[in-house]
Amino acid sequence: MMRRFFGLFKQDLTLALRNTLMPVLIFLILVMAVMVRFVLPKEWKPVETYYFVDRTEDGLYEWLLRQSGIGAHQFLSDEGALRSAVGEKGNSIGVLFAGPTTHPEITIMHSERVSAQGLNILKATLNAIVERATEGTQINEGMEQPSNVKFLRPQARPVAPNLTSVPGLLAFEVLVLGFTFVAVFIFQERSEGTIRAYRVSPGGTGAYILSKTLVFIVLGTLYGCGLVLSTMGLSVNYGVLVPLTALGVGLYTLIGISVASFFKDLSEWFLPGVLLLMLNMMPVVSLLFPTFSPRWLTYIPSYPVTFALSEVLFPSGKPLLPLVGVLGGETVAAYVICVFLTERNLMKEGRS
Amino acid sequence: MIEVSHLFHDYTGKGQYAVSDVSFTISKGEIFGFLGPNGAGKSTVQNIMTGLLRLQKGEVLYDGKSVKTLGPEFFNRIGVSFEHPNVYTKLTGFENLSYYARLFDVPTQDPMKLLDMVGLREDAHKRAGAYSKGMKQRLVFARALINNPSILFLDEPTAGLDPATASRIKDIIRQKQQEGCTVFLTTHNMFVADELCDRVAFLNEGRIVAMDSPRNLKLRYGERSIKVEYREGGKVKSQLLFLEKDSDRALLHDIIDHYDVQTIHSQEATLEHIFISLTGRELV
Repeated sequence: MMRRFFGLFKQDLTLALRNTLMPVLIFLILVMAVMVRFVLPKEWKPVETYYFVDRTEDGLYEWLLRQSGIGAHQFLSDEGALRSAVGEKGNSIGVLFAGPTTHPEITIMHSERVSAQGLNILKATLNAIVERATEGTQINEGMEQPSNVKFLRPQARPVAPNLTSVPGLLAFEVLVLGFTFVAVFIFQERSEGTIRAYRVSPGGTGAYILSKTLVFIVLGTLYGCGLVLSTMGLSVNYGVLVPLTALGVGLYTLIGISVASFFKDLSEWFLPGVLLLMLNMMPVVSLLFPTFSPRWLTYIPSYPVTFALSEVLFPSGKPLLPLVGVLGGETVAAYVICVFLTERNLMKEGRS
Repeated sequence: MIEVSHLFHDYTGKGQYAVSDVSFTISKGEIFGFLGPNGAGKSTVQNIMTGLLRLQKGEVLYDGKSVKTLGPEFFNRIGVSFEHPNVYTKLTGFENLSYYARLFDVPTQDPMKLLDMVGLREDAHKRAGAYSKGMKQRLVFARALINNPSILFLDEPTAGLDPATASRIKDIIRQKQQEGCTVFLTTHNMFVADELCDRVAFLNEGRIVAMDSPRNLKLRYGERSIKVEYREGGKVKSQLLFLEKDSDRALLHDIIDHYDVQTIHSQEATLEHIFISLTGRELV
């Protein structure tokens, strides 16, 4: 039994290594490492530059803003200078204070599109400045703690912006590897007819599925760890990352086999396969924008994979066990479904 | 003993049977030929017998056990050579055999010995993708022998092979029979069937139209004929004459009496002639 399984595993691994799979994976790791390390910025700097002109009676606002740390070069002499500065420097915003100090007329200028959210925040800030100026308080006075904040968990370390993409990339790439490449494998076996030769051997469905799953677990885990190592170095708990990545690849290889069993070749599989893949990438959106987390999204099998990987890479104190439990349960269910579908669609031909 | 009884198979689900009421038995150690043109249903029957295709109607029994209930022990006993050479093109010939051997729970043959037997020793470590069609065909045949099967299913085992290699393959099949192996041979090559098979069944449009030993079929359905070559007006002419027919016998006498006869050969009916006379179809 073990001889059969490891024979199959060795065969599948040899086939994987002789395919163009390995060079493609190494190339992708390099591309992503370069992107994360050298292309994406290590910190987001506000791109907007603010210019101010204070044409109120006593120039109180300029004085207040200078007091709060705004640089001298950001204050211009008149409205014309403000307009030309804003026009010349894209992504800059100009603020003109005019009229009486107690009820100033504030004009906001911008040459490029500013989000409504950004504009509202700016307006609210300017209104607060006016209120404080008329009350005779400093701008920053009493503003450090506008409300009480309680942290439910210890505060996570801030994540460098270039690294925030790593969990998403890891989840996406590793799942794609299991889901897509195993389909390519199966279609190759179908077109070569080797699956028919396997079916008249005592190999059996279980060994067929598990050997392929193990191959992709090995390749996917190496690939995933390679990606993390090349982008985040040794600052990650690999003791947790390795089994978690393995579980994720295993789950998606099983799903990949199940889906591929319905199709004859890659061209037939392509559209539904890619659509399914896109659906499975939706949790990455939720990871990037946590406010987008509808309940249906949490039912997608990649959801626990994505969030568990994120938690391992950037620990925030969230308990990992429930996510791993869900992932384990999904993997067992995926295996049972995979055995049924492989038996029905790949191991037998024709109508019953 | 293999018993196939009242086998039907419908791919369409609309009552269009690719195989219709096919029944036969094969004794242990027998080479049984299943003959017919392409599309006659030969491979369908073989696929049902090997469990590749679901059994819809009828029964296939191996020593009294239904093919539906057979498990891994059955696959340890059989060897299947496919018509289309289905090998891993990214693996070498040797790897194809050695990986396949590991799937079995029974003692297996040395892959290199088998490759040598089919004339592929020198190419053992080349990737199968670089093999010619004939080489792949031999590799598939060798793979069918890897587990020392007691039942061999061979689908067109000599197709695309040169005469010398085909002869080598036929020798191996005979040798396997001598070792007690039962052989189910599917082919449309009547000469191969005639040479190798103890019994043959003619399959046409999914039905068996005749089944017996090649000799009995020839005796029962074959017409004895004579091929005469004679000179007439400075040219050599040829006539095929059937001795059962009065007109042909009279013509033979006429040729002998009036012309310069160059050659006379008696001709046995071939399985191909019999198939054509029974079905009106050629074996292509």
